[in-house]
Amino acid sequence: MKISLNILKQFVNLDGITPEEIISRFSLTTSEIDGYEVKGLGAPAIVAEIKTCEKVPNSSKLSQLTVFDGQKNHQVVCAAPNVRVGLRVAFAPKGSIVAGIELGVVKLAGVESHGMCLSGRELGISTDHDGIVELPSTSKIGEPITKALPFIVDTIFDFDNKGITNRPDLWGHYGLARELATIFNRPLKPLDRADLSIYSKLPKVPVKIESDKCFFYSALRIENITRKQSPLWMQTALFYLGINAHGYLVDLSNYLMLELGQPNHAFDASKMGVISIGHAPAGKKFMTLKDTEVTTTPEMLFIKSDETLVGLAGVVGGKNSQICSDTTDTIFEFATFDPTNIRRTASAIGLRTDASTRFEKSLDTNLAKLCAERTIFLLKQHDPKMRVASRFSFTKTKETKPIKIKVDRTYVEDFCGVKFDWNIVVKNLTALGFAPVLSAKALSITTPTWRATKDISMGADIIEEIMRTYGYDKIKPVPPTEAVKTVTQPPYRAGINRIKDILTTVHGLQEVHTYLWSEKPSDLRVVNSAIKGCDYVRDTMIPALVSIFKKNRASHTNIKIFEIGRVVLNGKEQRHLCICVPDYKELSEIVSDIIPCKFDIGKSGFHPKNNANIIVNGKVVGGIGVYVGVDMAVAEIVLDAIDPNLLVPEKLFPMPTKYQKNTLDFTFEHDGVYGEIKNVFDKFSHKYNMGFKLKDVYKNCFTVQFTVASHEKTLESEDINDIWQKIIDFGKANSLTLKS
Amino acid sequence: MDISNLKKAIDQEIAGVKTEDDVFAFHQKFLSKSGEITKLMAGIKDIAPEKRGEFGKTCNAIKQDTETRLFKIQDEIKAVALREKLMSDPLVDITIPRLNTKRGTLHPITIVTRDVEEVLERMGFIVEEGNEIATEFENFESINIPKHHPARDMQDTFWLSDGRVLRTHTSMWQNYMMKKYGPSFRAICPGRCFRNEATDATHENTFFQVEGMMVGKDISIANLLYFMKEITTALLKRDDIEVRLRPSYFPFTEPSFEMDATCVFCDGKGCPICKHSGWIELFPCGMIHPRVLEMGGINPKEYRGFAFGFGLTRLAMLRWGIKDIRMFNSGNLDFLAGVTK
Repeated sequence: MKISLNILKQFVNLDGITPEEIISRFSLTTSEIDGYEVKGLGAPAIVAEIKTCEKVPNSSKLSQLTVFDGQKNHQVVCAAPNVRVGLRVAFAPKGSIVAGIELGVVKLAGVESHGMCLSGRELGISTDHDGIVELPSTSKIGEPITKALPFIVDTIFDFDNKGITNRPDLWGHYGLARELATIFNRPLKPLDRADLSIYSKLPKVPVKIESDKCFFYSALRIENITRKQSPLWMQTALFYLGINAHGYLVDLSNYLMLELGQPNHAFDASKMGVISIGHAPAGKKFMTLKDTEVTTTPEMLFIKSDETLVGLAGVVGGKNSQICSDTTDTIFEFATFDPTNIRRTASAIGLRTDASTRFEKSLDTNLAKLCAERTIFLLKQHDPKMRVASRFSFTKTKETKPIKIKVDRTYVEDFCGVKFDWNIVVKNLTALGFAPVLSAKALSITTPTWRATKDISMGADIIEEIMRTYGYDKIKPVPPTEAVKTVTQPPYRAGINRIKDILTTVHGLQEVHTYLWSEKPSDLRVVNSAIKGCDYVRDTMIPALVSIFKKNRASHTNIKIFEIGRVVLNGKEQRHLCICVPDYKELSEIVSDIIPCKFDIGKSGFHPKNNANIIVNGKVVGGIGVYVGVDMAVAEIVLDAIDPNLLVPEKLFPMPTKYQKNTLDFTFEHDGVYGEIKNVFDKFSHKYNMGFKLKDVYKNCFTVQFTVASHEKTLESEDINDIWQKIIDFGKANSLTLKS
Repeated sequence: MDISNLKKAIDQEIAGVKTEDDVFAFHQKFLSKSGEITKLMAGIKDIAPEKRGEFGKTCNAIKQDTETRLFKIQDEIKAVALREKLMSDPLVDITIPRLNTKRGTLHPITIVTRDVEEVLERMGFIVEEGNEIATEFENFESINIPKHHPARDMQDTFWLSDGRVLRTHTSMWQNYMMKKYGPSFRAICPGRCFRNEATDATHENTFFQVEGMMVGKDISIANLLYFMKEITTALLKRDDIEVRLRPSYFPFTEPSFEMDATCVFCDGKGCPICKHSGWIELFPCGMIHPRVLEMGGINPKEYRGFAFGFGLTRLAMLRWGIKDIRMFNSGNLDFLAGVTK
């Protein structure tokens, strides 16, 4: 939001304070200001008077002027229609820089021109280029234009809109002036406004509210407005703030909105009947004054004249009732609407206006009347012949009322960790418009209505007001008094960290991240995804990893990747681990290394043969297999299905035996997988059995090596023979026969 | 040979011992059972009895001295031979890097997340991971963003076909953490968040944040500032960092702040990165809104707390100067493998 220092200065004396200081102090107390720009300093012109004015022969538009700048006369050729003898103009003599170009002596229609009389656009104070700027007859000839029209030099601040979304009172200059007055400890000047009670005998403007989405509606009828152009200072200020001049009434309406933060509207009174505010049947067409067509919906709130729609409440006026160049009588609207309704309408039709932006912040209903009073005050100044033709006619469904809040002084100090000088607190709050009352233990506060719409509602809000105006720099870091307890981290964390470490450092895998959505159909979709067709919430991570594998295949060999992420299966979110490596056997070793699992071969449905279910504690937790069509193997494991303690296996350190160990090798002929042999001997138990391992595989022959020993003695040959025979018998009993 | 001749002969011949064979020959000649020294010693019977003691000592000294000298020479010969043998070993080129095998790398986000977790764990924080899919209530209402709140407009939400949403921020986990651990706890929740917006070099629809909070009896803004300063100091690994609070606005904290820290790029002197202010904006934070405490089952009259958060993805970008946010989810292995300094 752009803010003019000139307008702020009407309400608070900011002399001696640099723009940098304003930015820095406001940012530390209220909200951010993105920067500032100084306007009008380079304006090249001086005040001059047109002494003679004649038509240039052979030209329909050009005039030949003699312009006197206080020292000498200049011959100037000018195309503006409003040139006349005696007019004081903004004159740029030859050699001046106008719109980036140095003026030389030019010949127009055969006549030499030594300089230019400037239009508003050339002077940089408006977009007007229909004629030259007309200076007041009191302007002093020869003075630099910046002295004659001091308002053309202005500092325009760029306030961060996001930082003040919760402060409806800061969406106008007067509210910002109040904030700055508090920050810099300077008095806020009262707002000059008219007394509307003197019109209370005048007829009413009939107004009817038909919807509770309209909180407050007031209207004033003004007649005999003859002024067409707004004052140059107002046009300039509006231009600097990003709004083009449209004629006096529209400019005034805009200016009031920027000044007070209260959007308002001026209707052409000749086109208005009985005003009502309510909803319209769906499907009707409404033409806005911005020449866009809106199709009505039942939620939209409209201003109606008799039954004609004349305004989309709080957003934009209607084409059919807008101010025209010949409008003399107007009905001014000052209203408050439901912020949510306005926000939804504006976003539904894709038209966020200056008005809707303010209404959606939750405006104070009392601001409407203040704006009416200010309107009449300014109207009287600018167009003394105008006539107020109605009383201030209002009706309401809701009213913003001050809120009373009491806070305990000790609580506030404990909350902030600061000992306050309470006189300063009271002074600051008073400057912001609060009515604070200090007692021995408490601070009671009545909020102003402009802070009572949503911004301030509880003790914590008051604490913020106290602390930010007191200065956040007064807070010093203090450690908490509460004792530190040791904490137990949730399960899975250690396990997941361990898996990631082993995969990357031991097995050389690369961790990747992929998106939550996928092209593979699943039960759950993102309904408003921009990526059509890729809007299914993934129930597996395999397609994403395969895609990464393929993408990198051309430039990398031996691609080994994994991701730990979340998928949704049957509506339930769960953590998965997905691994892709080129070699199926290696993948099985990696999986066995990180998870204490068994493989149930031929069950997972990847490759018809080379696939397996991954089993932990007898439960299927995932699958592994050769990925058909791409030269790689994949495994996907549901981490949440595994007891987290198993992911961080405990190391044991049993005492080794002091006595001699012996090894016994057995070669079994077996037409299956080694896992079947392992399953058998996992169940074998003997007091001298110290474990076994696979020693060698040749065709269908598996050599298994047992280690046998005792903690009590060196084994005798009969002990060894005993276990040797028992191993053979146990194998036989489980269909494992020794190689003959 | 008499003693003096023997000494002379030993001195003369030992100088010529150059090989293991020489050693053997010398030993045979002088030190073996039939050697010259033994022979000399055998002559003791011809010595007058009163001089035999003296003679014996002299002979022994000669024997010992000769042995010592010979062994020393023998050691030297062996050492030279070993060195010659070792020098024939091929030179192993240890400057050749390991070929074809390499370590994998953790994702950059995992690395920064672990850094943050490590700092906060040291300060007694629980690390809790939250779900990525949330109900509308969890994502918004539970942290004081009611329906129709303008803050919902600021967050472009991904909606799911079952009515749930992809969480737009980790702040929503405040409610869960309060219910699970509160009151009186410290916890952080790092995790992935989603916003429905167009992606470019600085915008991603999928990114990581961390939310932190502390709830207790007498928590103050001064405590918040203390923790923010400690965390900043630990994360930036510098102890000369100043911090300050600026007002801000979030629906779930009151008051809300932006915490700035001394710009680490210019040490607070002012540079283009900090827009010449000497400060960089680091953490949004604030005192937990009473309504948020209430919804987490904590009595705001009895307990207070603070919350803070920041973007882990942004932290990673700052740390490694990553210019394009899309790299994180790109699956580009050249990027993800990184480079070891």
